[in-house]
Amino acid sequence: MSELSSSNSSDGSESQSINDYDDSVEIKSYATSFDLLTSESRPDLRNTKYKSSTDHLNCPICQQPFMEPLTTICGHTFCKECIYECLKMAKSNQQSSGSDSLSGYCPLDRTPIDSANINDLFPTPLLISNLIDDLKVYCLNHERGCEWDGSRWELERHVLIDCGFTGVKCGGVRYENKNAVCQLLIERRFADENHGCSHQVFQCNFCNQELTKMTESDHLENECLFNYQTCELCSNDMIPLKNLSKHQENCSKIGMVKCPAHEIGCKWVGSNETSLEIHQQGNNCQLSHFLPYYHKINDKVDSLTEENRFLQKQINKILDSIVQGKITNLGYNESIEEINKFKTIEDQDKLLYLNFEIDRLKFEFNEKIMPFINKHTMNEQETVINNLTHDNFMMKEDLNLQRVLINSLRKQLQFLLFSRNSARTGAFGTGGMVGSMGAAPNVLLMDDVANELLEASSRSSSEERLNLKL
Amino acid sequence: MAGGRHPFYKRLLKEYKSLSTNSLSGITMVKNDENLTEFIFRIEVTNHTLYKKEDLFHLSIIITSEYPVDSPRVQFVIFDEIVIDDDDKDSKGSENKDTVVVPNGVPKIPIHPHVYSNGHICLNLLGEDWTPACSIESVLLSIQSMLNTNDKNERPPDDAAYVKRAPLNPKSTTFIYHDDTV
Repeated sequence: MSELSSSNSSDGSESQSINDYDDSVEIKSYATSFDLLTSESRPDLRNTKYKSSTDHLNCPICQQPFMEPLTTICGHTFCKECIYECLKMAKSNQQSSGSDSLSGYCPLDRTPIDSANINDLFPTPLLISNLIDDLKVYCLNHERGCEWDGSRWELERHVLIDCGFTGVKCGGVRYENKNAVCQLLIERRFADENHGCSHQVFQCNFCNQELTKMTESDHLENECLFNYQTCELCSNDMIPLKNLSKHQENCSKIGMVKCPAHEIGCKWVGSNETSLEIHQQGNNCQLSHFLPYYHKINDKVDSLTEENRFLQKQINKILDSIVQGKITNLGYNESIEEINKFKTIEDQDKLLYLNFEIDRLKFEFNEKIMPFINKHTMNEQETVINNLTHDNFMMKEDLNLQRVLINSLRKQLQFLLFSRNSARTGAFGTGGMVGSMGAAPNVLLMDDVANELLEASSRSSSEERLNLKL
Repeated sequence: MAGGRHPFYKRLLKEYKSLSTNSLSGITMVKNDENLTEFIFRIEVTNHTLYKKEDLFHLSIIITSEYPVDSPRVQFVIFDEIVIDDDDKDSKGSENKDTVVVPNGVPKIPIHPHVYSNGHICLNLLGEDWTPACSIESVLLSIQSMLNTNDKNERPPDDAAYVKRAPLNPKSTTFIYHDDTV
């Protein structure tokens, strides 16, 4: 039984170790480290360690960079908590039974401050808050080993959600009591996704040592004498990991040389410089020709991931600001509530990304593709035809206009001639002459009449014709 | 405060770092505890007719849990510097790494119209007029200057009566600050 269990430790043997839990492994707690005890607990950012010194950005009361700064009428800035504590203390010292609002004196120059009066105590300009939130800090759990660093505004999210060294409840189910859930604190990196209890004891893969998840890595790296690694230089494969680095030091002292392309996989090992040169000459080592390009690509990828990480953080920051109502809806069609509907950050990111892509594509389409399409389908004949129709239309309008003018002139002419003729001859046959004008058949009738009149008048006087300018 | 740190530990750390350089003339840190909440300083007044070189004045400053919103507990004490502590390097009893010469003299409570014979100090900065902008350094400098500008070799008028009834903690006493001349 025990031989079987030693070779396949993750299952645990049926008989004993499945029920053994080592509760003695305790999480190391430091003054600054953070444990997620309930879903509501928030890290205390007062204890953060700043990367560089922060002289003018320190609150005079707590001597740390401002947290939610408020400025007084006399021009001094304090953390919100600090100035409220100060006013509370002043109030209790005076034991005045006054109003609910805290009032007191500015700690630096004793100007009277009434916290209810927005002129006395108001929020510091966002510029200052943003400058301070950008200060570089170390993770709260850095004493436990977390090597993260970043801006102060990123810290809370990192510690709450990302940091692998935050203390969380193990939450694992123990088989001895099916309903019991392990409540001990462990670092988040040890938590099991399958909800198994991380305090479960299992045996090391190589030796008989009893381990838990927490002690496993330490054991394998520093204690276990049986996890054999192979030295690349001398092909000795009986070296425990513990001794490997020393052994490799010794090996290289003896003079084992690796090909510089060993990081992409060239396994060549030689014993002196000359053999290395021979190896690299000609076409012996193809990988070393590739090496510079590999480095270039690597660097590019690194800088891209860096950029990507930074942009991701910026987006998170903007999203947080939106949720807090600091920025309005960025111009997207969905309302703010819609955007926040997606529970996970990945969905929000996808949505925004898709929206942005749509806008960008629309824009590109309009700018670049449409003129291109239009240019292709339009050819010369069509343009000529278009121009002609255009001109035709213009001319028709002109014609209409002229027609109207002519009609009105005719009216005038007839009126004049009629009055002249009636004065001369006394009567005239067609009574309907001064009837309706403008309709086409009437115009024809009038034309005939007008011609007669014209001839009549031309017989009489050519001067009049000239006057009429017909 | 057993076990936990002072909520404003970072500020105390900053103040301690700056004070332990002993950059103030005439003021030397003589003792401090691990939590950085209890200190003893030796105050020297130079070239003063009333306060001679043989008189050693020691000021005890105890940081309360409300610091810096509330003032620390400050009083003169009789302190014998030549005491062998656990982490002493030399037998002279100096706590500082750089050699501070312990002067020979008699530890005393200074005679001053605002200093009672039990070591309690009547100073507005320690009571009513304390603000969080004040620090341990400002307290030390104020007291040193208070001694320096004094020329009356007398105790407060109600010294005897006060000492009889006084509580151990000077913060429990409500002083009435009336004298601006000293």
